[in-house]
Amino acid sequence: MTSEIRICNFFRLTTTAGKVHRFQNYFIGESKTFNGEVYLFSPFQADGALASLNGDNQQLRVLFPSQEVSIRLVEEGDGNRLSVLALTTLWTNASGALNGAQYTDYFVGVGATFNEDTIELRFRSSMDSVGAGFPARVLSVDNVGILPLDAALSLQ
Amino acid sequence: MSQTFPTLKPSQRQFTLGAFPTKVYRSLAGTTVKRSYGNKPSGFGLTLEFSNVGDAIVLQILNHYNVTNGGFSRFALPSSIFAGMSAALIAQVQAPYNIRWEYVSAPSVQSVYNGISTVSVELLGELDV
Repeated sequence: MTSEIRICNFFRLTTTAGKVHRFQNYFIGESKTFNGEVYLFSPFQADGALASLNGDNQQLRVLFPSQEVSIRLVEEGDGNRLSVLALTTLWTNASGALNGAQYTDYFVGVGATFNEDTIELRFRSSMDSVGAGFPARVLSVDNVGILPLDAALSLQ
Repeated sequence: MSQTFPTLKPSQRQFTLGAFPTKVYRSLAGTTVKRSYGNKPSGFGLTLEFSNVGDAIVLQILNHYNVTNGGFSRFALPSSIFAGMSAALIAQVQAPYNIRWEYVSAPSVQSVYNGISTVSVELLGELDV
């Protein structure tokens, strides 16, 4: 028995300057209109955790080749600091229809790393701290430890 | 800027279709799940041989290898490379999905006689986005 799946990621990044970058990674060399917006092709890959039970923000990594659009994305986006990423995972079919199941997760940019052939954008999940164990409470050393300087909180 | 391959007719030609980007997960139970990562094939292959050609033709091929930076710059292939095929078949193999070609390795030149050689060329066709 064989199952066949075709998954496309739609990457919508809003930098702190308000500039929006939109890319998709399945339809090679094509522009795709999704939710009324045009997404250009870029061969990126996304991997990492979406959420965790403890409420500490998990890291997501998006890897781009060092091509002009991705370098510009980082350089004009304040190094991916505090950018907002909406990453939609969508199931498509052999004819490329975009009406399959889809899930959108939101992340906050925490930085980027360059090397000679790739650019890594790092994000942390933005909604983890709002969970069942975190209702209407005040952050204190008792429940989150020493307050960190970044978005990574860890419930005690 | 890349340059089109010299307008030559090969003595032998072997074409291999590209592959679609997929990955297979096989469970312990033997079931498989295939994931597709893109909607176009890549990695087309083309091997050409120019048998018993003169030095001028050998020079054309070697110069082309050098001006395309020896496999770094991609280029187009002229229709003469696919001489003998029907127009419909040429459309399938010359530049399917707008691929462009690059050298896999340096051309190989085998001397046959004074001023006569056999040149082998191995090319790779990749998506250019």
